[in-house]
Amino acid sequence: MSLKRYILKRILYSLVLLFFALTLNFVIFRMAPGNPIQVVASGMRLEPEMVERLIELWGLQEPLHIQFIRYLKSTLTWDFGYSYNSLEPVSREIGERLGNTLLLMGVSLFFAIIFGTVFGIYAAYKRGSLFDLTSVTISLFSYALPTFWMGLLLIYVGGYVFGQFPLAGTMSRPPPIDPILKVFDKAWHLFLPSLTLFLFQYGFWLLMMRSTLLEALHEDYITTARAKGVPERDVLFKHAFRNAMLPLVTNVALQIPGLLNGAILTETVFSWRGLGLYTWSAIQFTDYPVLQALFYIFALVTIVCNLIVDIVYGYIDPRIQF
Amino acid sequence: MNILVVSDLRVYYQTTKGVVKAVDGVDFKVEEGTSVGLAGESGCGKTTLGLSFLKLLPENGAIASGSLMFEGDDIDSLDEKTFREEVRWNRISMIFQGSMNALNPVFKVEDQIAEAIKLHDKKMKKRERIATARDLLRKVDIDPTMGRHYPHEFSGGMRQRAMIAMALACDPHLVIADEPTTALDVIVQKQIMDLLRRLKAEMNLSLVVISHDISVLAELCDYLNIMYAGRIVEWGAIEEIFENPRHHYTHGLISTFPTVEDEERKSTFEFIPGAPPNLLDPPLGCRFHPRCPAATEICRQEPPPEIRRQSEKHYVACHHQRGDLH
Repeated sequence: MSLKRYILKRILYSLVLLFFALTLNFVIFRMAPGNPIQVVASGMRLEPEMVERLIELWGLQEPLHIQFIRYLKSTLTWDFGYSYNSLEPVSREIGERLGNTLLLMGVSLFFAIIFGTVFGIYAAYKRGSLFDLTSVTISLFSYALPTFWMGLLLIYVGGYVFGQFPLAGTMSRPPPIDPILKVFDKAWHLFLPSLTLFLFQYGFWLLMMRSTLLEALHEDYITTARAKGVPERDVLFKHAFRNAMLPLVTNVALQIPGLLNGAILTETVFSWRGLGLYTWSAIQFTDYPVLQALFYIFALVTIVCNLIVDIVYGYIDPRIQF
Repeated sequence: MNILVVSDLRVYYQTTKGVVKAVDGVDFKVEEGTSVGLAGESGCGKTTLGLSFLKLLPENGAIASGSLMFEGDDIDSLDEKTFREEVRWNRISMIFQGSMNALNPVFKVEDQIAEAIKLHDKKMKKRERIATARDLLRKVDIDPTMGRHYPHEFSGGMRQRAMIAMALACDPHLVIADEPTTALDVIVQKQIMDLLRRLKAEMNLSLVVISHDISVLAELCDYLNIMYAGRIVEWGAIEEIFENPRHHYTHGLISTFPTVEDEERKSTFEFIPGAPPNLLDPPLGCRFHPRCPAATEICRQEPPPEIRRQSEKHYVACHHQRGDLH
């Protein structure tokens, strides 16, 4: 079947794209000012033998192409070396934080899509009404406000004025021992940062859903459906929504990389121990191995998301040419 | 017997610039088993008139006055649900310009036809519905197995055929065809016209054909209505209108099409000077007077009288109808 060939082709393209991303990621850090030895040695005096030893350990004496091949091999085996800052293996540190970021992103994205599309559909259906007007205004606001500002505001209101939520962190210290209490403790900490990211995305989804649906509702096939005697509810949810769903799916994939961006600011404001906070501290410490690993992961997420969209599109849009 | 009788219908659109009187006092009727053409330039209100038969006017449009009687039911006073379930597609269906976007791009053609059947015959099983849909496709000369495909896999002519098949799905009493051949090349146009003619004879359909192309209507219709600026200016049996047009606008419209028989007109095209009026603020008196070669003072001031000619089969609204000028 040609759908298989189409999927295979998309996977091949994605691999090529990933290779370019990897190359760029390698080149950027070789061009960055200062060399790793200076970074590590800053503030302390290293004996020349120590320097020699480090150069050898990190393979910096080798020609660039050998370094490049070693770099490719190490990324594929998820071995990103050691953090300059903590001297811990980067892969372990990432592993510890990945779950927190996925949790934060997943929860906020899930609710943003659910609420955004449902209210977006309703706003499109009731276009021009008071409901439409208020939800569009609120969405524009929440989408336009910077996440860090929203985060600080929520900390002030939720954590200080009402004092119901923790000011920062991922878990209480020490964490509760009972597993059920542990889950509650996490959710309690998760609430404000995920609300921040939710508000950031909610407006986007509502506005997007509303406009694509309005566009679809003006198409000729909607008039045909109404003429056939299709009830209004089915005109909206079957005939218009199926067509409006196509941009929705694309945007899920395009939003996830953007969400990582929002996560950096949100996690920093809330000291949420995830990849975003990790990125921010790595930038502060010029922690090259960590940054290189994170950039690779961000690129990977972007490419994989796009690949998934392409494949899903192949199933839901009959017009896609295989 | 008249299946559809429209009397003094007015359909107005509310726009930011004011009220657009798209249909402004139209009388129109369709005799059972006949096909009636509705001709006019873009923006004369012919599509609005067609949509009002199915109560499918855009949100800013509404029937301001007049009545629409279909098989003895007053269309405008039927409630939304009854009208949707019993009249739409079941008794009146519509052939849209199918070569464009009238079919939903994300559903299979046979499913779209079967959906129409499902809405009006709830007892039929899914498999029977699909079989019926395929029979309909066969009826319009499409390979029934093509029903499993999507509209974008059809050619323009096939999409129009599929649209026709869909319109026939519930054995309607009246079919409204809005520009059924527009945007198709001439050979396909001919095929579609032949198909419509054949189906009309086979199924004893009553047909309303809306087109700006008067030659298409000449091929398909028994009666012809000429619409100008929201009003019917002339109607009659098709031969009557073509052989003996009484309104200057009708004459102009007919003359814009070339003929191979008439020696006089063989080499020259006539055209109607000017453009149709803005329906926000139509001209006083006869609406055609700014473009009419025979206009006099009375045309600028008074709406034209409605004149029935000879038989009951010809009607014209003009102060100075052709043939008995000044």
